Parts: sequence; structure tokens; C-alpha cells
Amino acid sequence: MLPIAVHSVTKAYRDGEPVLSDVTLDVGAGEMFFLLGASGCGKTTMLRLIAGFLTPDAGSISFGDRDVTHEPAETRDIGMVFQNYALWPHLTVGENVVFGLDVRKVASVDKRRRVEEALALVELPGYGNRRISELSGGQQQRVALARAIIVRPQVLLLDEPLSNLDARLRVTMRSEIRRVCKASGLTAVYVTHDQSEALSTADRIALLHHGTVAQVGTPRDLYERPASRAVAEFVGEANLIPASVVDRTSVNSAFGTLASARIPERCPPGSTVTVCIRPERLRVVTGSNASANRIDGAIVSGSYLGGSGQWRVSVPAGKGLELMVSETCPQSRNPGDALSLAVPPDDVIVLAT
Amino acid sequence: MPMRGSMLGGVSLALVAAFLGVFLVAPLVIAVWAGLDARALTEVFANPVYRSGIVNALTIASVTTVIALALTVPLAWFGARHRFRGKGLAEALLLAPLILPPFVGALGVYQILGQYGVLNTLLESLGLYAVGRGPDWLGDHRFAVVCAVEALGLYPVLYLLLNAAFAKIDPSLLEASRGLGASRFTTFRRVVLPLVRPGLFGGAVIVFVWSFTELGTPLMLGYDRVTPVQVFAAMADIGSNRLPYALVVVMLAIAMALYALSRLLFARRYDALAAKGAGAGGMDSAAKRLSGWRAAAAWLPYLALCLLAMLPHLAVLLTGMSRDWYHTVLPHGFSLIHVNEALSNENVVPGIVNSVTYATAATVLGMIVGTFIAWTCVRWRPAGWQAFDIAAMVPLAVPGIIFAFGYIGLAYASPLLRSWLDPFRNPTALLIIAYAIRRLPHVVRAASAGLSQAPEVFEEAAASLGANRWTRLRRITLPLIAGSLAAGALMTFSFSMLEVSDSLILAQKREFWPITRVIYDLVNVLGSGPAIACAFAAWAMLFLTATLAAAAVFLGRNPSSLFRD
Repeated sequence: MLPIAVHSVTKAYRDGEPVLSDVTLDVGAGEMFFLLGASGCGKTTMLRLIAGFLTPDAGSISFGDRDVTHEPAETRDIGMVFQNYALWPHLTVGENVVFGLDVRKVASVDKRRRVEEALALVELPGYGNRRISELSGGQQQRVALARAIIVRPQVLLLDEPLSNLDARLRVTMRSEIRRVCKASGLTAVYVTHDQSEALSTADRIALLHHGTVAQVGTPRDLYERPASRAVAEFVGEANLIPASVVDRTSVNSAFGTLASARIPERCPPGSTVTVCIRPERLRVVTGSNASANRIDGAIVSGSYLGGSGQWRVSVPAGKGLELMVSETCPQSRNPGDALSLAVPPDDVIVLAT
Repeated sequence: MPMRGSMLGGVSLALVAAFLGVFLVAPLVIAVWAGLDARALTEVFANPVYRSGIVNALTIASVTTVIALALTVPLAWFGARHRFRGKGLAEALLLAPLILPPFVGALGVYQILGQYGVLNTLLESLGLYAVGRGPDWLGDHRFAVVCAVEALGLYPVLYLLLNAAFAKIDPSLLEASRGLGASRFTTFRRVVLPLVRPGLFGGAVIVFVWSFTELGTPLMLGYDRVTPVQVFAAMADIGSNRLPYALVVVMLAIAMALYALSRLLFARRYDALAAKGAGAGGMDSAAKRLSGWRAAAAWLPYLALCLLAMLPHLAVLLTGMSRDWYHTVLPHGFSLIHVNEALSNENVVPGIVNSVTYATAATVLGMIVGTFIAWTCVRWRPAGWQAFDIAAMVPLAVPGIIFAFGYIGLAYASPLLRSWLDPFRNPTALLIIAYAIRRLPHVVRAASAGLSQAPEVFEEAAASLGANRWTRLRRITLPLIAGSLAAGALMTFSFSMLEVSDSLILAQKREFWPITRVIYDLVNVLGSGPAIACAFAAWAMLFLTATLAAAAVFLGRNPSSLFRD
């Protein structure tokens, strides 16, 4: 269990196009740290730099006190779970899992015991003699995890480990991975493009955007206090509305003046900003009683999702702009129905960019 | 990842590039350069003998291609649409000519089609001809015989390509056509044929170029008014005459034009359809199951074609093991007299030793160069790796006879090279290199296939667990690609053992003759010469079959998969 420090790392492709520019990250010992971002944001490159498959053009990476920047993967004492698992097809489950112990020249009595323990930990006891091709996707995923953790690595790296599984299995496996990591006390770096995976499983998340760190924080930080438009857009659903700052408590948007308790210090009156309102923060109001930040509109289309209703609402004042509204315990509503909405000033998040 | 930018990698790259430059590119450039002689080229087109040689070669190629298409298209389509017990075996039998050199088969043709051969005896006994009055097949119909023998030797190439192309068709495309009211025939013509056109055309071009430049068959059947044989005959005064080179240039130009045409016509889809392997749910899932007498009947066309194709080789086998075979359907009694004579012939044992030596050395050389090229193209990909990829495939397109000529030109290009390579003094080095270069495409393909089945991430997974480069190679990469490497090595070895063009042209001195050159010589010996040649060829074929069977057992797969790329 070691902390990882990535300091000012820069990496460019062979053609010179930058993949990562000046990335600094601090992963705590025993932390489950996520690298989240759209494809091409540099998250996999970051993971491969930490693994040692790539060397940064500038900057440094250290595990605890040890600078590993120029060490190859094989001496870094890591465990890695690959996107397609990379289980060796010519070896059995047991032979795959034991490989790291073979390399470390562990005594054969210990080896057998530890393989059984590792397979039990991922809930595949007695699978040692199976061939890889006999396993389902979920089972292969577990074998890959067992193979990575059996060596008791200082750092566990996971590269989109669930992307090849179906939706239901993904949900089960992500809590499994968290359970196993926490049980073994591993420092884990987990790459994904699936924000719900990150929000539900991470201790902290770094959101990467175009090769830079857009924000680092807990899942709640990223969702409720996005630092930029890019973060708000990528994490969860958001209504993003162009606006300009009027004073410390209000902005002028396409929907008229909105009161906001969330205007950053660095946005002076007159500056152009983006207003972010989460769909579930828009409340449906009835009657004509005046409430703060009232928006009147009509339903364009909607979908009923059981626990909630998702409505697209066009707002006449907004000149064609539409709002996404998520209503819990939804009423029966049809396109064309008038709908009045209100949003508390606390939930009107103003973003500088 | 490994070796990138390292000294060892750079030096190896330079060495292999130099090897390909000298022994693959230079021979072609030299052959073409020597042939681009205005006087020699003028003579090729002015002299009616050479002109008719080219016309004959083109006609042979056209007829051969048409016969091969007629044999394979219906059978491959039938095979794609039906399943029956033992279909795998039936299809494997069909590929037998791949390991039976047409050069050897031509020996058996004499036995079958001679004036007093098997066919005429059969026709006489049926009362169709008076005794001794049967048609002179080889005399009057030599041209047709050459075409038939070549078609029977080459159809497997087409069959393999068509088989792969048909298997990849999504059966729902046929159902869609039938559902819209099209008949089976219309569906085949309007849906299936357009889908397999790249494979069909690509295969046909291969068969065409191959038969256009084939030396062994017409030479053995005594058909000499055809360009490859004329080139071979003109070897005698190669030092003073540019003419053979000019003929080679004309052949190369025609072959290249055809390849260019097929690339041009199917540039987009060719690569996609040439990719290996049927996806899940391909044609096989919709094949109709045949059982009982239908399954037995389904075997018939496979057996018939296979038997027809193997008939000359069977005749070779029987001739080699019979005491006498003249004017009868089957030989008079069996004996090992010719087999023994073959073994005691002064050229036979040295021939075997020579061939084994050349083939072994060529295999080692080919494996080293081919695996390195595959690794460079699949894994390393330094700047300009594409040149390697293209160069490694050149021998597939360039006929053997053209390369052989290039090597002669190369040996004479400078005094230094001549002192090392002069085939008239000692052709060993040149033959080894020629055999290795000839099979380079197969080695590269086999090794590339192995490497792409062992993606780099497998090595990375091992590295992440602490395995160093050597452990990764030994425990992960080598076990994964061993099968492919073995297949490449066995193909190089077995084909080198019975290689024709380079062997006939480069091995000029008796003491260096390989098996094929000895057979060619024996045939021309009066008396029991041809029978001894047959006995010897029978040995060679048995040896080849045993090697390939061993390969199949060793690899645990169907032997025909050795020939698929």
C-alpha cells in the first residue's frame, strides 16, 4: 500500500500531438482513485505511464518515496487488469493466476495456497484447472483480477475492466472490485469512461479533459460542485444555459433573471458565464403562487422511467431553448401540457466557462 | 515496445533490409534491366517462334483458368451450402495436388496417355479402337494435355479462396433474396457471385499467372513452343544472349499488369474479403445437413475430382513399383527393381542429400528473416516498415522463373558476387537463398498470424507481474506462436524439396543437382530412365506426404490449414 504521486507529467504521441500536458495527481495510500474522461482524453495513457509501459516526456511519477519514472513495468511491483483481460489462452486459470508467483519464485506450497485464496476471494474457488475459453466474460474478469492481486502489488491498475460486460454484471462487478481492493488494502487507479461507475465506486475521481485535469474530487464534489462546463457536462445530466452576471446574487439568462447563490468570486458583473441546472433540481410547481426562479413552459416530449419522468420542456422566453426536467414520482403528462418549474438559488450553479 | 530504438534492433533491421535489397529487389531489377534491351525485345516480337510462345503461354493460362473455375465454383458452392459426414476429409483430399508437384505428375501422364498407355488400352479393350490404332494423345493433343494437367494441379488455390469467400457470406443475404422471390440461380448470380467477386477474380489471377509462367509441366510433357520453356532452353548461351531476359521481362510485365488490374478493380474490398476466417454465424450455420445416401452421393464429386487430379501421381507411384507397364491397364506384376535402381543411381543419393541440405538451410534462413520481418511489421513498426511488408509479399506475385533469372544476373553483376555465387561453379548459396526467398511470404504470413494471435497486451500482462523480457518470450510469446512458426518452417522445407524453377535453372553442375533436377535428367535417359525417375519421384512424394502429415499431427490440425494464409 503506497501513495502515488504524478508530478507535471507531459506525454506526446510520436507525431508530436500532446496527449497529456502538465498533469499532477496525488493518490493516497489505500485509495480507490478513478481516472474519468471521454475517449481520447488521455486517461489510458496516464494509466500506462503509471504502469511503466510508457515513459513521460517530462515530469515524474513516484510510488511512496521511490521515483519510478524510468523503471520498466516489471520492476514496479504493480498488478494490472487489462480491458480485454489479456488472460493467456495457452494456460489454465490456475496457471494464469500463479504466473506472478512463479516469477517471484514463491515456494510451491505457498503458491498452491495463495492461488486457492485468490480464486476464493474473487468467488471462483476450484476453477484452477479450467481453460480460459471455458469461462464467461464475468468469470474471465474475476480471473484477471485474481491474477493481478495475488502478487500483493503496491499498486493495482485497472483499465476499463468492466467495459466488455453487460449492464447488469457491470453493476455487480464494480462493487465486487471495490470490496476486493478494500479487503486487500490496495492503492488502486481505475480508468473508465462510465461516469456512473466512477460515481458509485470511487473514493476520488480525476476528470481528464483534452489531456489536462479538469477537476479532482470526491464523486459528490464533481456532481454538485463542478469546476467547469466540461465537468458539468460529463458528470451527470445538466441543463447548460448561456448567461451573464448581473450582480453577486443574480444572472441574466435566456430565461430571464435567475437568482443564484453559486456565483464564483472570479466572475465580475457583466462577465459571460454558463448556468448549470441539474434536471432533478427543477421542481414542478402548481398554481400561480410566485416562487423564486419560476420558469413557464410546455412539454415537448417525455419518457416515463418508472421511478421518475424525464420531460423535455420548451420555454417560450428561451427562444427555442429546451430544459430537461426529471420529476420523481411522475404525474401523467402529455406533450403540449403546460408546465411551470422553479429552481432554488442554491441549485443554480454558475460556471465561469 | 522492446528493442525500440535499441542498437540490436537497428543493426538487425539494416541486415535484413540489406538481405532483401540484394536477394529480392536486386535480382528483379537486374532481370528487368538486362531485358530492357531494344534489340532483344524487338526480336521477341519479331520472331514468330517467340511470338507464338507468348500467345501459347497466354492461351494455356486462359484455358487452365477456365477449367479450374469450372471445377471449383460449383463444388465450393455446394460445400458451403451442405454439411455431411466426413466433409472435412473430403475437402482435405481435394487439396492433395497442393503437395503433389505437377512436375512429377507429368511423368505419370506419359504412362496414362501414351500411344500404348492406360487410356488407349482401355479404349481398345472396349472395342472403340483397333489395337495400336488409338489416338496419339500426347502427339496430337499435347496442348490440351498441358492445360488439363496444370488445371488439375492448380485448382486447389482457387478452391481455398472460394471456400473462404463463400463461408463468409451472411446467409441472411440469400434468404433476403429468396424472400423477394428470386430463384436459387438468380440469387447465386445476382447476390453470391458479386459478393465473392474479389476472391474469385483474385484466385483466377493467381491461377492465370501461375500457369502462364509454369515451367515444369510443359517441359516434362515436351511442349516447347511456350515462353517459359523457351527461356529455359535459351539458358545455354545466357552469357552472350540477352534474349531470355527480354522474354522474362515480357512475362513479368504481363503478370504485373494482371495484378495491377485486379487491385484496381477490387482495391477497396479485396483486403477486407481476403481476411482470414469466417465470422460466427457465417455460411456454415445455415448449411443443409445431408445424411444416408445423399451424404454418400455428396462424396462422389470430391472423390472423382481428387482421383482425377491424383491419377498422374498414382501412375508415377505404380510405374516406380512395377516391373513393366506397357500396353496394359494395370502394370505387369510389382517389383522393387526400379526402386533399387533409383537408389543405386549415381545421381539419386547425392540429389537427396543436396535437396535436404538446401531445404534445411533455406528453412533456417527463411525462418530467421521471415520471423524478423513479421515481428517488425506487427510489433515494432519503425518508420518505413510498410516497405518490408510489401517486399515480403513480392515472391507471391513474381514467377519463380523470373527470380531464377534475376539470380543469374545478380551472380554476374560483379566479380565479387560472382566469386561467391556463380551457379556454374557452385550454386549452393544461391539455391538456399532462392528457396528461402521463394517461401518468404508463407513464413511471414504464418509468423504474423501467430503474432497477431499473441497481441502485445499478453506480454504487457506478464511484464506487469514482474516477468523480464526473457521470461515473457519463453513463457508467453513463444508458446503462443510456436504452432505458426512450425507451420511456416515445414512449408518452406517441403516445398524447397521439390522446387522446380530455381532448381532447374540455377543447379547447372551435376554434383550440385537437387532432386527435381535429377528427375528431369533421368526422364531423358533412354531405357528404364523414366521408370527410375518415377521410382525416385514416388520416394520424394511419400517423403513429402510424411513430412506434412507429421506437421499436421504436430500442429493438431487439418493439413489443409497449413496452406491457408
